[in-house]
Amino acid sequence: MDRRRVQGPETSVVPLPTQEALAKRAALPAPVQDGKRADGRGPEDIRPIFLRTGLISQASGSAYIELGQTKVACAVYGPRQLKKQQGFSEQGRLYCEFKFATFACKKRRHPIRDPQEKEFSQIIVQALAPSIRLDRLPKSVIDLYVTVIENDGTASCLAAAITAASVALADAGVEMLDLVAATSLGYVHQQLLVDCSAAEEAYQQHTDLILAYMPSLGQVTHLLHRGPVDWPPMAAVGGACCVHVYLLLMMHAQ
Amino acid sequence: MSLGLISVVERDFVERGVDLDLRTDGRGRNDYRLPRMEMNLVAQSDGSARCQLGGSTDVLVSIRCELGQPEPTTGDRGRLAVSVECAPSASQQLEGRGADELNTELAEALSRALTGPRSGLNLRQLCIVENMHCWILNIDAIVLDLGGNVLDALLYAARAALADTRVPGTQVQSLDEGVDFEVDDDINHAAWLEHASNVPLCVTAYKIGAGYVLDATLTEELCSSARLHVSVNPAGQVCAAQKNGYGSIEPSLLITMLQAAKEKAMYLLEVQEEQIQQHKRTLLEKQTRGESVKRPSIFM
Amino acid sequence: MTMAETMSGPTFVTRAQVITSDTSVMRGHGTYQEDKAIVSAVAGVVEQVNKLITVRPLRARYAGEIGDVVVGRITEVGQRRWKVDVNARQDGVLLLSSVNLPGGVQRRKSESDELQMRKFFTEGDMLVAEAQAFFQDGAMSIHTRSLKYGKLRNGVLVVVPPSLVLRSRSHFHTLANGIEVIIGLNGYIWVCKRASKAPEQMEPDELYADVNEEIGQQERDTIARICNCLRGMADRQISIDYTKLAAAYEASLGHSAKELLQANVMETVLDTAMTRM
Repeated sequence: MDRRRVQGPETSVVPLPTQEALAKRAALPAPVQDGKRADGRGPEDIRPIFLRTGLISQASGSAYIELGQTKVACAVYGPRQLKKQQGFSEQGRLYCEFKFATFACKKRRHPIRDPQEKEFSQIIVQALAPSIRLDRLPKSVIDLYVTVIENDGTASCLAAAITAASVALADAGVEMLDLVAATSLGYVHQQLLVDCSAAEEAYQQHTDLILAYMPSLGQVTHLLHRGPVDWPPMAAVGGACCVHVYLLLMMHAQ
Repeated sequence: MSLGLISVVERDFVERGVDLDLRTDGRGRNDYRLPRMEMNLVAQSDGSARCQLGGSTDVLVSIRCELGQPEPTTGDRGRLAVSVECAPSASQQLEGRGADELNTELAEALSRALTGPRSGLNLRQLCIVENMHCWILNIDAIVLDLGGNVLDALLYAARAALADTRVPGTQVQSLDEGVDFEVDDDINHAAWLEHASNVPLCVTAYKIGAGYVLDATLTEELCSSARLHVSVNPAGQVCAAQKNGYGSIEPSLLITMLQAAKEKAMYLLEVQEEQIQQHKRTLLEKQTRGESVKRPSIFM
Repeated sequence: MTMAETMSGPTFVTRAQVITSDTSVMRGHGTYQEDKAIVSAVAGVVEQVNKLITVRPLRARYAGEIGDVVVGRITEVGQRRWKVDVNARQDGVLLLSSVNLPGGVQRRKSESDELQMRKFFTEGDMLVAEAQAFFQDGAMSIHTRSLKYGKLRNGVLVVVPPSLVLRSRSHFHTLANGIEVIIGLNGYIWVCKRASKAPEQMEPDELYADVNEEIGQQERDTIARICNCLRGMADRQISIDYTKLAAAYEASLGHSAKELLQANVMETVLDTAMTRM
């Protein structure tokens, strides 16, 4: 027997969902009823944020954030000397590794990073690089590790990761221009929902937007959006939410 | 050529040119070079197209229908699977594993624009037997030449390739124990992909200095601190938007860039629609005259 | 009958083509010997100087000669030397002792100069230099010990195949509107606004400053026009020197710089330019 081969039959069929499951999906309730969402929030409320720094003793700086069931841990190592073979660079470099824990999502994640996780890593670097004074760190590299322990809304995970990573960088004492506050928005059934949970993301025709913003400088550091929607209201609410998250960060800092 | 290097003064020259609305090749900031496009190039594919932007960027997109199973949550629809590969021959900066990061970035961005909600395609058309069998549209792109503004070219070619795609016909038979189907090999029984004209196009605005440009050259790409990919469908809706690069953008500039990219995308959609119609007309003419529609080489 | 005997005007050969079986001639670059015949190793033009037969390749990377004016880009800062991309098989070398430093030509290079080499040239900087010598391994050593040479500013780079650039008496030209074109023999061409101050009058610090002058709308337009002409000529394999470039520039004046990007406009412009020559 060749154990390197998959022994199963060549073709397989997804089991037919039971009638009840189909019926249940068809009868998904409207996302907002009487101005309230399933967890009692209004459409433009974000979930309560829990944020702590310095939880990882080995790291130069770290942060842990919870948004409802979304739980993200983030650690910063560095700045440290760039390895010889990576060449000379006048500016510091930022490197990020974003990973969902294998048990974080409904479907088990593979321990090796998939394309989505790789892309999220790049997005985090792009969202944070403008806030860091990389010009003051020649020949150095900052490593950033983000682990999602629980995923309650993929977009919210990414937004939480950006916010937490920014706080972790601040915790590590890296020179920064401003903190980056990020937020996620969704559009379900023509209804704007801020900070969607996984249940709300499961609606068909779900649209989302992730916005990272430096409120004190008035600079957008990242924007990721899909699905056709009207832009101005979404951007306005997104901006307001970022400011809200930012104020929370500032309160935490004090 | 030394890649990825640019001197301080060259960057300054480009930035100040953008301020004056006069770029190094004489264009204004909103000027977009006419994309060259060809369709139906790869015989093995169900649909294919190639796009050349600005004389240097060159991408080829092939679409193949493959039998597969639908996602459990959307049993009545087919699926799209997007991959992008920058051929190592495209640029020296892609040697070794240099292309990996770029490939992920482009593939994710392309699939965001194509598979996002209401991207336009009728995925129900791809369903064969509900919850059991569907067509998976494999959208595979290769970048043959990397000359700046690749994502625009990719989506341009992908949209044309979708318009060129025919889904093979199937005949479903009910048997005693369940259902079975047969695939019809005759190309004339294959159906054009429905609603392919709803697919969006992407225009990228590059932030340079305090301004922006569209359709950037390689040098301009090097000078830009951030870019904004904007995908727009023929209804004028922004289907996907994504910032890229290590810089930040002020909200007012962001809106200006978005608006400029959107307008240009609407224009390009018209241009491309004309190109597609033109292609289909010549194809039809050749067929009625009984000439061969195949060309001797895709480079001719 | 061999090719060398019938040679009148340029003779083109391809790889593995017998050039001559005359045993009295010597084989040079681009050829090899098989039995008694001299055979071409590249596709190119046969050139004969006295008894030496060489083949000049039509398309190859730049292989310099001493005295060539080259335009290059710094790729690496090393020990008392810079590595310079000159479009050749190997990076060129610019020694710290081969540049003019602020404070006079005769100044000795001190250790403090060594420590602040990035103040003079850093990665990405453009410069024009002269080929001085060749190392054993074929790398080119270049120098900027003349005020003609040095750091480049106020313009843009155009890259063309090096085989198209013709050798001429001068490679520094002023076209119109005070726009200068430096045609590097390595295929790198620098198009810029001529500095308002001659290098002799510059302050020591200004020689290596990273600041552009103010460049007006009209000057930018001329620069764009020249760049587009150069690219068009390169695309159509037209050899490049000052006279041809000037003719192309003159012929292009009927169109805006932007229109030159369209292939058919460029075609007519170059056709008129070449017939006028």
